Amino acid sequence: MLISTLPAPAVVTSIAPYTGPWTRLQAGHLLRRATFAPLKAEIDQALSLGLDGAINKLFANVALPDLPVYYDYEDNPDAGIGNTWVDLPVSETNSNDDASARRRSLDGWWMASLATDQLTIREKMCFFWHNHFGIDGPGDARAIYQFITKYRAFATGDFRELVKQMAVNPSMLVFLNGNSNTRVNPNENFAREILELFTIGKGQQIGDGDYTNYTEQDVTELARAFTGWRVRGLNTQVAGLGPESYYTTNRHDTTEKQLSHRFNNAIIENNGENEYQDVVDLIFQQDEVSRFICRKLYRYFVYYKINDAVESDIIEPMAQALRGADYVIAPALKLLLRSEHFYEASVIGDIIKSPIDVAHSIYRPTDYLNQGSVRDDYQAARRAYLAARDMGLELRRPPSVSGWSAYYQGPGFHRLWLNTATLQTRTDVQNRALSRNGWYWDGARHPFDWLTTISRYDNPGDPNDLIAEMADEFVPQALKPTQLSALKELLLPGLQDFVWTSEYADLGANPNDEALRVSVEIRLKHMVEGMLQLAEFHVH
Amino acid sequence: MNRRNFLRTSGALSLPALLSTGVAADPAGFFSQFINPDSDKVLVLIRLSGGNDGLNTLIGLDQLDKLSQVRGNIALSASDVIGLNDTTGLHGSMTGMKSLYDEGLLGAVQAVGYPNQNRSHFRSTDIWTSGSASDETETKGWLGRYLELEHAEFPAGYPNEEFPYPLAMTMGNVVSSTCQGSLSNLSVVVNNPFNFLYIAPGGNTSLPNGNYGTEVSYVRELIGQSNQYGAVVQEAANAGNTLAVNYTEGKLSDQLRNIATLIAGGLQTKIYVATLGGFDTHSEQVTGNNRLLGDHANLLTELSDSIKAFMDDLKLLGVDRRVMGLTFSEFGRRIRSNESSGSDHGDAGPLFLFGNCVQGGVMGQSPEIDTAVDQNTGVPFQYDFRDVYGSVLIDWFEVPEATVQTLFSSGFTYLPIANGCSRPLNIIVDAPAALGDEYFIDLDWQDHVLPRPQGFRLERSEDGRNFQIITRVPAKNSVTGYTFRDEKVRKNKLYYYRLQRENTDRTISTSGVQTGRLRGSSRGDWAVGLPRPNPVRDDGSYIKVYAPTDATAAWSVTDISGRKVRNGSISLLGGQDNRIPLRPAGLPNGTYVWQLITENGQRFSRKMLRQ
Repeated sequence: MLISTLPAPAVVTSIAPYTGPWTRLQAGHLLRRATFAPLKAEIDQALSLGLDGAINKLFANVALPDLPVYYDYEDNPDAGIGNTWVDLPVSETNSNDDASARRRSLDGWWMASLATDQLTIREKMCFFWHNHFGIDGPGDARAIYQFITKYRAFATGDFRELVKQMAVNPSMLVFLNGNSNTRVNPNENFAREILELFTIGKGQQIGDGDYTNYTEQDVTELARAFTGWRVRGLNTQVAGLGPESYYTTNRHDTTEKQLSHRFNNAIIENNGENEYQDVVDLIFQQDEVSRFICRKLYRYFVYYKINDAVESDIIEPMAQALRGADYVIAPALKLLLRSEHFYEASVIGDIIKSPIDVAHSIYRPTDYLNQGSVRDDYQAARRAYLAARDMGLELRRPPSVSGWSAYYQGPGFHRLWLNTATLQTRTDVQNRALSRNGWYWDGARHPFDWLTTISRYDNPGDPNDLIAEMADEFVPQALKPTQLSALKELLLPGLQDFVWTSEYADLGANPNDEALRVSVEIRLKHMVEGMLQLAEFHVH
Repeated sequence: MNRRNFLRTSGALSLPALLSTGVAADPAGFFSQFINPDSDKVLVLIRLSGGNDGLNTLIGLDQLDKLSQVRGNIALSASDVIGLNDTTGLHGSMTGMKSLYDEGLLGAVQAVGYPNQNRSHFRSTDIWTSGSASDETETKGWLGRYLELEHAEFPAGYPNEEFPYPLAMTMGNVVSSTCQGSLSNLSVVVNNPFNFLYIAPGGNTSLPNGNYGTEVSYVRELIGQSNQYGAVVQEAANAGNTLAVNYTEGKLSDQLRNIATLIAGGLQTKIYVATLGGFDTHSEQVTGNNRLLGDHANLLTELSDSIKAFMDDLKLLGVDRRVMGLTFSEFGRRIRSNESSGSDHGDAGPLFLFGNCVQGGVMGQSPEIDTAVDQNTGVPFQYDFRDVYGSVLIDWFEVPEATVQTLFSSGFTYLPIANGCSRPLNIIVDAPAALGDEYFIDLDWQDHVLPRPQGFRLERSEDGRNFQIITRVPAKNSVTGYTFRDEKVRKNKLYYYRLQRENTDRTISTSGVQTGRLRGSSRGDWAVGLPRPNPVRDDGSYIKVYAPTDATAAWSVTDISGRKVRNGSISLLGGQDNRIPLRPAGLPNGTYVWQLITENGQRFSRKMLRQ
């Protein structure tokens, strides 16, 4: 039934700066990849900034989001609704309730803050690092908040320094057993993953215990070098304390660590509580680290298939730029997002959206996360989080240390987000957004307001403009005329264009005519439903 | 009552509850007891989108002159009309439906609408598709509510072994709101049943080579695989066929042919919805001087020829007894035409039923045209559309009347329009016209058939089902027209009349049924619209009031402090919508309440804004 997939045409695999036209197509593409579900006004802004201006804007520093707050938990004597918990001990009496209230808050807050309107790449990178380090966070929300904040601080910053700090991050120490990695009983978990997943990557196995980039010996030796670190303050009920890591000399292995020929037989001398930094520095001396992370950035931002041309023409120059910047991410990533290759027509829209992208593609345009009160904003954001969870991406809970399979599992990669089950949940998420009641909480229905969505457009009273403007937000490439006319038929079955114009104007003249509002919105929802049914909606 | 109907009407029992009592061991055998032996019946709805001009579709022959006075630039002349009987004709393009009429396979109902007609396409379509009152916002469709009687959990657990096929199907791209249920729409949209896997708008359009095309293609394929009804619909389409050769090239024919194919292919879907758009004929509905040319004529040709071809096809396929069709449109158009050779949004309009089991003939009277009518007036309704729906459910899907009452918020009056399977087939006289006066109903009928009968028995019913002879009229040799004045009638009741013709060979022929009521009898309930536009303007803002009978009512305007700032009284014409100008000039900005108080004390309050 489907078109046969012909061999791909030669793709321009040039890292040279893109000099072609800067239209909504390119501006929208940049933002879809660099942010979550950009809105029309943001695409307008990127369009007017031009390519370089838009890139500079995306990489500029922006303020951190407001601190996460309690929104539905009133039993902490030190903080009520609207007050933050990040610096407070867990309440003594209801510690479990308090802890789960914090996680609820954190999930909503994180989901909402990913969809910031600040036109920054930071949030997409925050999630990148969350996937990269793969920490499953079932525990203390303060500890999770710490690493989220770390990811934000290092979003496009010094990768090497981020790895160093994550090596002794309390959540990481718990997650990969650094906490119990001691001189007497070394635990290799973190040492293995820092090599295999976080920095240099596992190459082909070319000998017994030799993975090209490192060997089993290196894992064992590195584990000893990381010994001595512990965690305290998790779930603490003591005022003034919080989750933190600390170094204990007597747990640390002070003997020399002998690495393999893969690291030029380097010897790690004892350096006590600073030794983990020496290890990271040593790993980062291998150029392969730069290629490893650039490939991962490429898959995240461009496409999952890396052929020889991409390897030599894109990954290699990026890796050079990364090393040239002493492992600060921004220059290499800017190079990519500015490249001719990135704006190649076949690259625009070639990534299957993650569940977070899908959720925000619906929750952002409807302004669903702005309900008008702290409590309702968080409730709504939590619903967005639940929607993403149901579609297969539970923020805070990566399925494994490798992160989500869509980012590492070949040959399908992003395609792994979709199967008949997750397609159904995507449909469920869409249907809820189109239903009369939306979500229920606190005994009230909270529908999605699609009329507000289109009120942001330039010319919502003209059905052709309306559909074009909505397509501009919801799909990455121009739709075919047959698709546009089918969408219009959803809006106006058997009716001429002016009917929409006059009914929309009629609603404007009778804003209190609830029945008319419902009728106009039903047509609009039919059209939106069609838009969301398009396969094109699922890619960006 | 069969077991299935028993289940329908006893809401406390659910199938799982019954199953848990131990019959689950043989679920197939268990379910088979509940399957209605007539459950292969199919209802085909045809929506005429845009608001069909009923006055140029089903035409009162005695109104032709008056119509030419109020809609001179579009009115049909006598030669443009095909007579159905002595009083009524069809637009000259509708030859196909005329031939169905002659075979007793087509019924028409005059002036179907509802109190306080809304003239917004969107809103009135929602009223028609939901089967709600004009001041009610019901989100479920009337067929959705019906289907949910038996499929309350849909879509959870569907499709399943017992119901592997779509419960309802909308042809085209837009799911029909008639089948909207509480959780989802119970119909699936089928544009092309032969290629029914990836059904997003526009279908499987061509994609460019390269990454983008590859990924979109992948997603489409996956969406196609997850289309739960895809296989069963495609199988039926491929298994089915179509035999009629007289389908048109038009859009409705295409949909009806697909429906015939799917029925022939064994799809057990009960409800199909087809759409013919373009009826919003504000201008150039006729082209030039030939009134049988133009947009409206083209639409009616497509409607009529397609239905004819569809009925022929069903007969050739041997499934004609399983299918009934019903047309509807969101409103009729105004009585006066506009200056662009078009007509604007109006009120009630005729609808058609077709199939072996319809009651043929024309129910209701041709709308009486007042040549002094103002530009805004539409045709007042004679029959409430919910009565049409409910009667179809009762007679076609065998839904108990008590259940039908619960499906529609207003009271329900049965109309014998879909009960033709139980009618005698030898109709050779038309139902009598039944014209209500203040104290009596005049019955008029014509009989041109030779040999002349011995006489007529005129029968009357108060429920549309049980008839009793009220008089016998001997035949006359020299005249063909007969009259009888029924004086034993009361106000506020609908009466049903039919004739039994005593043929000379001692057989009896039975006519169709006609209804009548006394003039000034209540029809529907009071209904008061919203001020429009609101915030109100000095000129043009009005409120529409439907009065069941001629009435005088008091009105007032109260400001936010409760102070009455305006008041008066108005005379209202019964049985139609009255447009009351609001004339707010002089009122300071603010919020007001406009209130209407009827003679028997009913109050209607509407918020009015002044800015």
